[in-house]
Amino acid sequence: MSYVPSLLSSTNIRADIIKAGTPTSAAVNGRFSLSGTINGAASIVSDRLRLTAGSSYHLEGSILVQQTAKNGAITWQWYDNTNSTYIGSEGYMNLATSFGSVARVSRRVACALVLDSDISTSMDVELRIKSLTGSAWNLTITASGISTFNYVGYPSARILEIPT
Amino acid sequence: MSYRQPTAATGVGVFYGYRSTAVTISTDNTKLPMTDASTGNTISSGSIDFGSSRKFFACGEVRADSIGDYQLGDIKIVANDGEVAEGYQVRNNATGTVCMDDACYGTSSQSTVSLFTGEILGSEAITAEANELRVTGVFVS
Repeated sequence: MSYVPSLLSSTNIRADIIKAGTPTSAAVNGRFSLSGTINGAASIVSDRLRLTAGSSYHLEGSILVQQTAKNGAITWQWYDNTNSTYIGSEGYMNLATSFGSVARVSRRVACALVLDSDISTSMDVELRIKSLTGSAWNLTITASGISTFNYVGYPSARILEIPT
Repeated sequence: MSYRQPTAATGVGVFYGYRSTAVTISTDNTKLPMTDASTGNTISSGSIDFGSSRKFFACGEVRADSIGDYQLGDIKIVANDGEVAEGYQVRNNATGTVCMDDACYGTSSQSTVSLFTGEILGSEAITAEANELRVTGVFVS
């Protein structure tokens, strides 16, 4: 385990919050559809984020799921589609039993730090389902959240851009 | 739900606001008042007050310290011109079928930022209590 030192910047970082909506498929390798307006250097191309050289990026992805069967778990992670590799730390949720008795509990968000030096010209990343077990998953995001629930919030992806 | 992007900019730095004493969560769309703010900012009517409009990114969280205090609902970030981000589900109950991140995030270009309750599941509202509130953020360009 190592800890990457903080990046020094003499300019403000840029922040964007976009929607991490219904995935292209409710299965492994499905990618959550990213949409919204970005003020920073990144852009959205085919549901993916295109990160351009000249900045480093801290990415977070929060998703919203429903599983009426309560018999499975999901992991999701940022995936570097340019270099075909997962990056950063995965998010994890287990709905098989109560959160008080599951073997693993962690922050329910996927995070990644993409350094400017990692980017040649640009890098396309996506928020991808890495594993999915169990049945009866609903990953369709509605106007209010998911299904008919209006008290469960709304999923998003966050981009913190640190200009080099 | 929409994702509003900031439109103005000044300054560099991190800010926070918090509350370390319990506050009851009983009604939808109600401010959860903070009591302390980072140096350079003040608390005004429970909100972090920057003193002037600043462009910011903020994360809001609540903590409950007993099962009886857990609720099924969400929280949200609110600036002085209205909601900037609907919150996320704060706590999944033991038999819940829906799961999500447990913080909320927002960006805006205003002079104050607050933490509010969002929609609370009715049967949970009478017992919910937040033992700690935190809003952390950074001024952005």
